[in-house]
Amino acid sequence: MSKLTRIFASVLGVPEERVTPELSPENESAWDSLNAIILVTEIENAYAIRFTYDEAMGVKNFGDAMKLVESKGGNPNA
Amino acid sequence: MTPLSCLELAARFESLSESDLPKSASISLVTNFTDTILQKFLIGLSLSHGIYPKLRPAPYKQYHFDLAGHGGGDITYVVFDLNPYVTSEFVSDPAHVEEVLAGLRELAERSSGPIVVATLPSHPSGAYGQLLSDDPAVRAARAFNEGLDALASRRKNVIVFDMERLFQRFGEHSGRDLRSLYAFDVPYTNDLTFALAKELLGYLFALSGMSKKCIVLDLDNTLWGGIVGEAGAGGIALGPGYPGYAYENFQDALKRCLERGILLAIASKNNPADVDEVFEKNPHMRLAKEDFGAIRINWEPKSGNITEIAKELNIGLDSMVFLDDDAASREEVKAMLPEVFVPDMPSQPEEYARHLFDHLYLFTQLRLTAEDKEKGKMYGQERARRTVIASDPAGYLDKLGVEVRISHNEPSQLSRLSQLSQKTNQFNLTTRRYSEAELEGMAESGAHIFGVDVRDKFGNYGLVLLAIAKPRSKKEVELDTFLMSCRVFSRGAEYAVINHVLEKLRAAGYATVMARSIETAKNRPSREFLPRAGFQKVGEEDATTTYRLELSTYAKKKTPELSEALSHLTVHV
Repeated sequence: MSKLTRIFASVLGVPEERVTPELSPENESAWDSLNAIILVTEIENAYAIRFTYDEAMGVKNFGDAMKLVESKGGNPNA
Repeated sequence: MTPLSCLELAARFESLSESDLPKSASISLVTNFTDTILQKFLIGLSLSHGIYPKLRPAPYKQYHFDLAGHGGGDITYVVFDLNPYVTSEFVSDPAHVEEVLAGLRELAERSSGPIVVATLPSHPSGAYGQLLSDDPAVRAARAFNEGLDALASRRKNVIVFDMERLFQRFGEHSGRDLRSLYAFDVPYTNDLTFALAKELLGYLFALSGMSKKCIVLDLDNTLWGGIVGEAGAGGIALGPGYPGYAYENFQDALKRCLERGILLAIASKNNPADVDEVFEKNPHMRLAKEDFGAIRINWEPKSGNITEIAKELNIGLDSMVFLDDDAASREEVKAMLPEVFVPDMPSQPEEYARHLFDHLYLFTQLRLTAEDKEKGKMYGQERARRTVIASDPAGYLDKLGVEVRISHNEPSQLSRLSQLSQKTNQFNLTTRRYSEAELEGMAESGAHIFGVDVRDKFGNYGLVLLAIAKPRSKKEVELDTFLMSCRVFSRGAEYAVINHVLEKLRAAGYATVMARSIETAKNRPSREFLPRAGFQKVGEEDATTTYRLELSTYAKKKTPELSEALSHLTVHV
């Protein structure tokens, strides 16, 4: 399990298989506004990167999170 | 536990019910910010310690309408944030601090459970620069903290939590997340919030008797650098220079934990003789062998050794924390003894002491008594004594260096002597219970009350013997009470004391001492004492045996038991 998958699975309390690029607040009720903040800050901690507010709010699904991490020099599959 | 694994546990909370966990606790939370992340951490940490949390958070920003109405339950946590980046009522409204303090006072009066209130930490910077006393925010924080201290000194259920110390651990820049503050009114980073949740929960542990009591330590690369079996007692890294200085100071940090009452123990895979050599010969050891309440040095799995240590110290496995640099040993203990708390260890020894301090929330105590402070030492003293006694059953007395201090009619001792008369069952000739006032009255009416302090080179037992002699006539005196705490059995102290008592009575002009031994279900250990000390049996009726001793003959001929005991003891009068 990649670090990124682990963060989503842990914070949202969903099984690893649930964490696909399509996972989003629309199809996962645990992804509420509180968990959105926690996800952002835990991703930042895990990869030692920092997002702007707009970048963080632009994450609409797990695929977006992968792309964002990659754009900051992190490896979302590691 | 990492913040992430804590959040993972918290995510499972909704699928659990109260009956799934061994304990539950109702927790009130009052803050002036969005505390949902703090709640999540409190939930995850509670679950990880086997507590089902019934969390009652005050609604967002509602605290000032009815602070007292939002507290209560097993414990209440109150955390207010005051920072220079957001305008706060604490600063804008001069009456706010007083209102909040009044609310806390009301809460403290209404609530029986403890109320843990965080202080307002000082700011790293602000518009007033260094003109601190002109800064309204600084003034508000000072007023609040002073008022809180005053409240805590009057109301024992108010506990001050020093938020400043927690903030210092992180620093403003890694403790505060301004993006989260402005976007969501979340003032702290997740790491600080997680640490805050741990510290707060420590008070719940203390309240529920769940605080840890003992640190079990590995030796090689934990208390010193290197492997003593290979490097030798002088070759391990300990003392000046890196990394020896780090290990030395880690030991010093542990020593301070011991001094506040945390027990220490050793579970190490080594040859005992190699370790003994370190204790005896390495001048940089800050911890002595006597500092450890239990020691297991062998090649057996550590889980078994830790189980034995728990038995020896008479504490539960769930009150132990195990520190070992070796991941395999940690995993073995975690797998075999899930009750034992096994934190990861930092990879570098310079982090050990800080790591230890970061985990002291597990040992939280609501207050510290003088007895608590002595506890850690007494276990070690007792263990050291047992080792000496076991190694030389015939000659241990000389090695213990027992000293007996006998006082006569000393008013300051009467409270403790009364307690002794009420608690002592085994070595107690007559089992007469006396209050402090009764002892006082006896002393005034001419009785001789001897209080005896016993110590040896391992430590002080305190007052553990009591003898009372009551005059029956000008020439005759009765030994009304003679008792000794079981903690000092087999030291010969009772013979040294009776000898002194008899000498003193003879010097006072008495000729005869009468004594009784009244049999109870428990006082078998004292039954042979009087004849062995030289008393003659003169009568027996039911459970009472009467004895008599002529002081003139006693002085000329002492029993072998008496002479033997006196040769191994030092008596101070």
